[in-house]
Amino acid sequence: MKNRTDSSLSMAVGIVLAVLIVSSALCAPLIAPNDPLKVDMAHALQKAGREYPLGTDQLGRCVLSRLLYGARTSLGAACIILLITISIGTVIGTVSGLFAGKLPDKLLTAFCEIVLAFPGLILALVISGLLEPGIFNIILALGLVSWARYARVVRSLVISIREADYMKAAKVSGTDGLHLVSRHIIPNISGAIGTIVVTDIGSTILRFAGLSFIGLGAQAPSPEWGMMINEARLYMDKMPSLIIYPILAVTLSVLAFQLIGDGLRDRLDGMS
Amino acid sequence: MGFFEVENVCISYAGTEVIHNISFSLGKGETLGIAGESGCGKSTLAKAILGILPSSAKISGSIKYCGIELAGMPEKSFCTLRGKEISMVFQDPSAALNPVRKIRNQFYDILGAGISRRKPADDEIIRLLNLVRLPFPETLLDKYPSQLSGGMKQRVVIAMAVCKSPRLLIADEPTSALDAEVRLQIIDELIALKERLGFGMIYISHNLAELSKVADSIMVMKSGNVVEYSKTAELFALPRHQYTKELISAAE
Repeated sequence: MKNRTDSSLSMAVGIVLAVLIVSSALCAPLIAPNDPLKVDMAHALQKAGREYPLGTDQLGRCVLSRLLYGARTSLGAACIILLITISIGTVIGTVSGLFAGKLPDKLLTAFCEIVLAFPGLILALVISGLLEPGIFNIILALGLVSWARYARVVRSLVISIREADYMKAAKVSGTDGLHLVSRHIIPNISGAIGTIVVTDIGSTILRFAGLSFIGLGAQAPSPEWGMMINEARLYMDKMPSLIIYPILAVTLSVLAFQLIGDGLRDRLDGMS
Repeated sequence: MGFFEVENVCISYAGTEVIHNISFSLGKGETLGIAGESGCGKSTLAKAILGILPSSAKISGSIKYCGIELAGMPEKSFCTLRGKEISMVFQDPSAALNPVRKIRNQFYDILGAGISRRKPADDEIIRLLNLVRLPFPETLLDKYPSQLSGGMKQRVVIAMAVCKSPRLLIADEPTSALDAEVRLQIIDELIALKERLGFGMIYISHNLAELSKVADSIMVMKSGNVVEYSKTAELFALPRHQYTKELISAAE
């Protein structure tokens, strides 16, 4: 079993990393040394220097500026994907949990199982393949294939909470059904859902970068980590740092949110 | 037409009958005590009255409140009765309050107080907390249940239960999770509240001494059956069933 101090330490590391990444993304226009879209072929594939702290890419664009703006794209997309996922998952999971064992629950559970039976990434590939490549479509595709897991978790949480005495007490005191859900069920499942969401930020960034890497996500010239990795492949021998930086950015982001999620889960387990 | 009448009620789970043919009646403003060992079906009966048994439970017989049949009543109709007509005080106050919501907000939910009605709602909450004799009620509004003592929590639970002035209150072992001193205070509180608000009460307890203080009549249950049902004084003076005698001697 993991030591409590180890868990706190790794969570602290995760928080520091996440704060750095999120604040870099938010402050990108203020701290980026150059325009991330400005092409300057005269300075293509330059090494790190005063003007370009992490060098330039094959089109002479500032790598650091593109990484900072790329953080905005990746984190923003991950947040929207998770928002779609949680919204659909929470609504379906709550309805299913409230009607557990009855027809609506059976239908929704069967629907969830059908969605879960398909590998999520392949389903997202199909959806985004049918639509045009682009950030919006990939966000929609990933959002539409990822909700089923949340719905299952929410369903099980709702089933355990709806039998709690405080739910019965609120019900017999005259609290109506909508208030029971919004004031009693949702606040009590939000801790567990929040933990899964934080853990999933990393994996969502990874999936989004993966789809951008194969050309289905962000499109040139907008800066995005997955696309930056793809573009840097061709220059790996000439300038390895060009591919290392975006890989490092994705790795550190995934690590940061994974560490926070693990820490939160340990705390939640301890509380229960 | 009686105030509250239960006739030949049987409750079963998955074909196994847990409550066998129970009948009793309650006059307006009267208190019925239900005594019996743990697992004898007291709480199941209370939940059946309020329609909060799991959907797997099957009820037969008749439960009539002011002539309205409650057994088999649709959930939507039950919603109009709960809180306003019949309410319940749960056994464990720590479990009966939502741990993640402030006391004020838990009252708002019951009162249906929207943002525009917060001020009158706050006054109403303070009036209710005063009613159950909680000291400095305004300081409790922004507290979470974990910040209150067991006795305070149970008083809050009672205040919530009588929030909408019900005419019948079911108290399901309201003192069993409390220490001896607080237990007596809560019983006194319920008696005073009942006299003031005039509601009828079904008071469930395994402790006959406690029931003798609050109940006009007592029904003793064992393994889902009623073994004795009579006026409180009569039950203590002339207990007929061996199990009742055991409960009386345990209470002494």
